[in-house]
Amino acid sequence: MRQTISAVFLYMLLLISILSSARLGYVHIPFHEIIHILFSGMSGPHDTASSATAAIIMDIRIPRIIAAALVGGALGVSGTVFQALLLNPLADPYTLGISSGAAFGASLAIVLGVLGICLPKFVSIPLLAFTGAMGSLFIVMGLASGSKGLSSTNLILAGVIVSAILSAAIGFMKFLADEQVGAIIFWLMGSFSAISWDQVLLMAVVTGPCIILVQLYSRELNVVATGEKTARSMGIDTARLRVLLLGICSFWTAIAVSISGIIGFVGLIVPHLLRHWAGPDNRWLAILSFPTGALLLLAADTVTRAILPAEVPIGVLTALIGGPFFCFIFKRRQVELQGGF
Amino acid sequence: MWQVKDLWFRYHEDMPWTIRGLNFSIEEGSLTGILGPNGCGKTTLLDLFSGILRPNQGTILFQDQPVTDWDTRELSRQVAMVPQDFSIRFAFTARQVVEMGRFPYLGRIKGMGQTDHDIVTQVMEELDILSLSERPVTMLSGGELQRVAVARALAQTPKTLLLDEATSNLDIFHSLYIMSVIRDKVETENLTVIAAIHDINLAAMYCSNTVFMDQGRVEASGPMPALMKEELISKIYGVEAAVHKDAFRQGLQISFRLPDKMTR
Repeated sequence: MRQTISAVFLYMLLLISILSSARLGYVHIPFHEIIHILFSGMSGPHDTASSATAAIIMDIRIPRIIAAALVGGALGVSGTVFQALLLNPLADPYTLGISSGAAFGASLAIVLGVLGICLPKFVSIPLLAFTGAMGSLFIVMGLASGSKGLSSTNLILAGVIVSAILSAAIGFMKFLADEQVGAIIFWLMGSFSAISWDQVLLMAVVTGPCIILVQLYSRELNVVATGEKTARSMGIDTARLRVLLLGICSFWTAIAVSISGIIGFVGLIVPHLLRHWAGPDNRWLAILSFPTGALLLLAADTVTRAILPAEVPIGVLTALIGGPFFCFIFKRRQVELQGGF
Repeated sequence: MWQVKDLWFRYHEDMPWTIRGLNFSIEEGSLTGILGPNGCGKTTLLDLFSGILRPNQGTILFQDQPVTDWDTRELSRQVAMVPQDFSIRFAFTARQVVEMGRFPYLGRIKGMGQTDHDIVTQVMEELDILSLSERPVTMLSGGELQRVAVARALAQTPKTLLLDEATSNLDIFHSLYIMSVIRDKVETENLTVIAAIHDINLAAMYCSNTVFMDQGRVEASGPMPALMKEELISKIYGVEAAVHKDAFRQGLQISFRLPDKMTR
């Protein structure tokens, strides 16, 4: 019951937040005008409202807002799935080296651009970020798999090793990038400031299937919590489930990272926050973590876009707010549940 | 119900054989104890029974069909398992954990029906854990948690229950309690139980048959009281053993000491 109400509430809040955050910004636009622009924007080219206002809403704010929400949702759900699958409260796309892989791919794209090789950046960055993410996932899974299959401790360890190597490689890319180093750093810190409709569309197309697949496998995720042997004795092929769900969520994360850059702590905080509120049942966590992640990241992005005097990179903001907050809930939960989470 | 035929297994080609040519069978409705010293292959054998591991040579037949040929989902409706260390780090309630035992019967979309809920309530009643239903499993004591683990396995409504030292970490009360519940199931519902057990005296109290293993081989097998022999146990465990009558029930118990030269 509590979960049903939370789900309805969160999705409505997300819708309201998307509309109301469109109001906030350097140029003041009244609410009724936003609604008007949104509806006429959908039915055809802008005619009535002044085209400048319409352009601000339709070409700058709305794509950015939707992108922030979709990326936040992706990170939230991925974090939930990773933690449930690996039975580890620290698992998220970072600890598994997936974000680092994407970051390496993106910096490589920028450096190749500097050297004059390669495709235009709007193609090469997502493509190489995605390749990097999947590449590092395969390396991590290869490193972690032994004679007894994929163990979750090994996965985290392998993730840490691969991340360490990749961050050195990213350092080298920065060195190579010379004058373009700013572009890499900006990207590594995350930003929604130059989002296009194409990117939003890409993210939206990926979101639907990913969230449905995760939901379909959420009961398995619960059973996995009883441990490897017990889960297998209930007929779950745990190795296959890991590959499948890690694959889906890594793919989803890679697409998200390729449009927004690296954004930390959303994937880590959302599952902890929700387990505290709605319990550990993954059938609900999967449904709830999407709007929660979306709301958190949308709020953070609105703060940096419209409230702070100068734009702070979103990744920096989420880490600065999210880090200490995570410490707080993590400690409190340790005390409450005697080591459980 | 179960036939082990010339079973060989090793974890890796470069490693020595863990299971070396086992041959024995297990009757329906029996409670069979697998005994033997640490590292003799008990856990490995149970993993082969449950289909988690695949034999390198030979087969295990369950209802005349090799375990490896069974559809894993169908097998999980027939065979359930209780591991030694059942621990859950997520704060699921005890009832939610027992409900997970119904997983092999649920569809991807379809949830628990009335029958499923009734089965869950019934097994929780049998293990006297209904009062713990809403408690997070992370807050339960070892004995309570292991009763939840057994209830979860029984919720699978299996024909065969595999116990991997399911009572090793428990106090005497909880060990006896869990074994009694399980033996009742054997007697009233014709459940077959295969249990890896460390404690010979516990096995003597509850098992109808035993298989003594040593270094991956079967050292002796058969009905329980006949196998309670001092020489056999001395040989397998490397201790001196003295058999005496159980004070409370028909049967035997054993006292142990280290051999003379090692006595302190």
